[in-house]
Amino acid sequence: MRLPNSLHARIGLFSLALFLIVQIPTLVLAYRATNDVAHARLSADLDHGTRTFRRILDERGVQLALATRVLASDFAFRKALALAEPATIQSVLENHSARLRADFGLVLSPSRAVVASTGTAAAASSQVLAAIAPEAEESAGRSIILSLDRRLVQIAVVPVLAPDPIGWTAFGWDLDQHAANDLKQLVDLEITFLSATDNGALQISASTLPPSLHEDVRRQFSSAGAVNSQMLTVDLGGETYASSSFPLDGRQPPRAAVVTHQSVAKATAPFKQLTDLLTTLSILGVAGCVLGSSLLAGAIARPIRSLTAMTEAMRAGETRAHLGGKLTGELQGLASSFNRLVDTLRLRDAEVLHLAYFDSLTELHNRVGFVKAASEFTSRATPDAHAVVAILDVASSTQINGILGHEVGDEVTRAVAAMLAAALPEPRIVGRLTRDEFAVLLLDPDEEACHATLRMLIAQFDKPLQVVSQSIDARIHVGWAQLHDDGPDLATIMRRADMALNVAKARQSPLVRFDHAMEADTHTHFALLSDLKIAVASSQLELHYQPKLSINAQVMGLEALLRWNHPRRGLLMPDAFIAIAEQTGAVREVTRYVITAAVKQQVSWLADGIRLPIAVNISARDLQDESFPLFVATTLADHAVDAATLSFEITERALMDNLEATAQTLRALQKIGIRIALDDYGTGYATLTHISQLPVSELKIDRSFVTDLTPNTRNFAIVLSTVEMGHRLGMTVVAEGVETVSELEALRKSGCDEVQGYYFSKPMAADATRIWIKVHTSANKVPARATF
Amino acid sequence: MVFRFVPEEFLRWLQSSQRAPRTGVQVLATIVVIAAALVPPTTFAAVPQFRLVVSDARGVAIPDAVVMLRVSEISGKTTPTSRPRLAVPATPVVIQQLDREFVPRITVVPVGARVSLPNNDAVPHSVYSFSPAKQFEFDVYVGSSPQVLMLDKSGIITLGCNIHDWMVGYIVVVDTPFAQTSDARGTVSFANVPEGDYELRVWHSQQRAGEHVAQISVAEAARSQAVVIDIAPPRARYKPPLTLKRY
Repeated sequence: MRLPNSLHARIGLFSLALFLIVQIPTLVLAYRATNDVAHARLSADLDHGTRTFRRILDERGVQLALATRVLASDFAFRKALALAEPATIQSVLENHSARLRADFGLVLSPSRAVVASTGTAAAASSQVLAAIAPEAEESAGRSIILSLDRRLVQIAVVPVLAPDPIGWTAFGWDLDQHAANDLKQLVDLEITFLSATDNGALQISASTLPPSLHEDVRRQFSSAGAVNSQMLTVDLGGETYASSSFPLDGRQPPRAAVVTHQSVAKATAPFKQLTDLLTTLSILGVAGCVLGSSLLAGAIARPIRSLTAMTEAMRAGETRAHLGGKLTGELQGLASSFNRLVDTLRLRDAEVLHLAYFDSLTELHNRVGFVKAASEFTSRATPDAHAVVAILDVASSTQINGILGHEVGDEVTRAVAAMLAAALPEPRIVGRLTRDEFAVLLLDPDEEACHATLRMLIAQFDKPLQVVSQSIDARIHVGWAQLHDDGPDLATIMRRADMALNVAKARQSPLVRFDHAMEADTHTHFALLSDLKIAVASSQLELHYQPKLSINAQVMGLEALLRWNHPRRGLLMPDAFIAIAEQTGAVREVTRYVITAAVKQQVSWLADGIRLPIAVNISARDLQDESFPLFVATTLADHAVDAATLSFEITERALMDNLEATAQTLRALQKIGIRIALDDYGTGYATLTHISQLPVSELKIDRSFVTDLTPNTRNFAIVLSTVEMGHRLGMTVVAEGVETVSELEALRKSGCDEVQGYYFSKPMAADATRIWIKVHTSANKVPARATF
Repeated sequence: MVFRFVPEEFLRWLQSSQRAPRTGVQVLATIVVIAAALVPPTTFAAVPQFRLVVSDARGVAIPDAVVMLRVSEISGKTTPTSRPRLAVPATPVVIQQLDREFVPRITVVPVGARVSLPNNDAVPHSVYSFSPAKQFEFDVYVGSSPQVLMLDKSGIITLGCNIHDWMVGYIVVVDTPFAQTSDARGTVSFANVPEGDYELRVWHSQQRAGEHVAQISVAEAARSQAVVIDIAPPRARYKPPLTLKRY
């Protein structure tokens, strides 16, 4: 059975069940106990009544016999009998019979002839009298009960001795209806006397039961075997009686018997009253229980329902909804703590909402908040207003973080935010989109004014920011777009402003407005990506090689650089497509292609006697690919090439992208025997701690530090310290982008190990490279030194 | 048959011996004594020793039956040659009340005899009789002189005591000299019975159908005859033991 879910119904059912669990066994036990007691009582009543009945009959018999013996021994009576004086005898007999209240008296001669008789004895036939005499003789002066002509008599027959027998005298009582009624009064049982007919069957001679039941009794007890002194239950006229029957004479089968009856209903009536009362109380109890539990359940469930209603109201947004009402006790406590919970939730909701829409560092809108606020703002703006979205990139932030730590970086970000907020006139919205990017929405009917504002903003960054008592240079790039003019909606112009920013960064221009040509460039990216897949398969990709030389101009190795002979666009540099390939993961295919090609080239050169290690650029994606080291090992093995002929270059930024996975892959590569170089060192934010933990054996200083390097520049200090640090960590330090002899000299001064750049050679095709190597080595009279 | 002088002491011995089981020697002695006392007055033909044995139908001897032979007056065919005279004792026949019994229980006396009923107990008795042969009723106190009754009518007198219901005694008053009580073997033996026809009467206290009456012939040839009577078993009588002197 499934319980109903309602609390109300459950409480009701539970308490009802509880009540019934307690009550039913009690009732059953009470019923059984009462029933047992009633039947025991009935049985005891019947037994006791029956024994009393027999005792009374016996007592009467003893009394009768005694009285009869008294007469028989009366001298005058004996004399009268001996002398045959009938008048005297009759007189004495009547007198004695009256004294005894006997129903009849008899005097018989020794030959059993009636000498005198009184009362109902007159009705007794001589035949019957003859019948009693032998039994009387045997009874030796005691009373017996006889069946005489379908009636029962209790009779005492005593011989008259003078001193030999001179006759008999007898007195008796009829066990008739009258006697039965008397006995019923005494023993409180229904009495039925049975006497035998000639054929031995028992007939009712007298009974206290109503005549309508006589036939039932007769049927039940007519056979002599039924009279067996045992208690049994009989059905008389539809009512149940407990009955006991026993023979009254000593004959077998009995000719005189009695049945005592006790009405079961009558005997158990007081007990039935008790059980009726119990039942009534139980029914009242059940009703009370149902009513009480219903009230209780109502009292519990009502506040819960109102709690439910109120929580529903809260959910629907009724922010001021509070629980209350006439609650008491635990429910009042529940309501209070529920209210407190709701209040807390509201506060937290506000916090979450704030976090969702605001940047915790600068308290400006975050991207989502900015978009939301800007949408609302522009939707309210009048159609003729010019809405301008500008996206700002604070250029120096990443470097600041890398060198001076995050706390300073955060301070710089906050300072920038403060500056933006202070510099821009209302109405405007300022948000922080990413780590270094801010967004500004300006609303001004004058387009030129907007432009001016942005220029003014850029001018603010001309002087260094004062952060934690330091002066920090921050460069700003701004890309912007105007609603309606540059795009139909906010999302579009934001994207387009972003595009303009990218262009600004690429051109190193502080302020660029979107134009539709930029979007065309973006479209070409997607086309390029699909073309690249074809390129990998159809040998449009080619490797060029740039030599790496020692500071003494010895060739130390080659860096493989990818070129794409695009069928329509001509020769493409890696900058044009690798960044796109990295975004989609296609770069992995490219890397594998490059490695395979480099290894093949190495095989070819080794055959030519050129033994220089080839460095291949790999991307962050490759390092996140767990199967990459296996691929490398397999490729090397397939071409029977030593791992020392291959090295990998990885940019500082790629290294830091996913340090953990990167470090694992790097270690795997180190095990194979591949050397790792850290490319573009100084542009990312790798810390010494990170580098020292990685299997990096070479640092390549970014070309931005090398350009125009002289011993007196600030960059020289950086290069100097980098070289020193690299050497301390046991690394080779390489400088890229060497273009002039002064740069070379400065590098030599700094202690840099190797150099690479246009000063020596630009990247060349494989064949050109081979020739260059031959020429260079012969010109310098120094053979290409095997570094492996 | 003639009663000669018989010393009273001897008679008393005889009577008292009735209480004890009678031995053959005693019976014989009695007969011898009585026979010796008789003087045959005539020399008519007589059966010197006529025996009758009383028994029931199964042949069990019945003692204490009083057997009487009377000259038949009905048929008269063969009358005895002489009619024996009835000898009336000169002194009263004593029936004691002893240990709350009548002693002897059965006493046979001729008509005209007297009986004395002395109370030899320490308790009083109240002797009565409702019998037609003699009705009386008197109290016999301890130490009082015994009542003497004159029995002038033949028949059975049943003696009772109104105080002690179990006491019963019988006096058989006969009008013939041939009357005896049967012994333990149910035997009576009459001496010198003249030959002839007789009326035989047998009375017993437990007899079911009254006195047995029959006609017999006494002859030398048949001097021992059997008589069959029917008696009921003795009635149980409760006699309380004599403990306190309450009786």
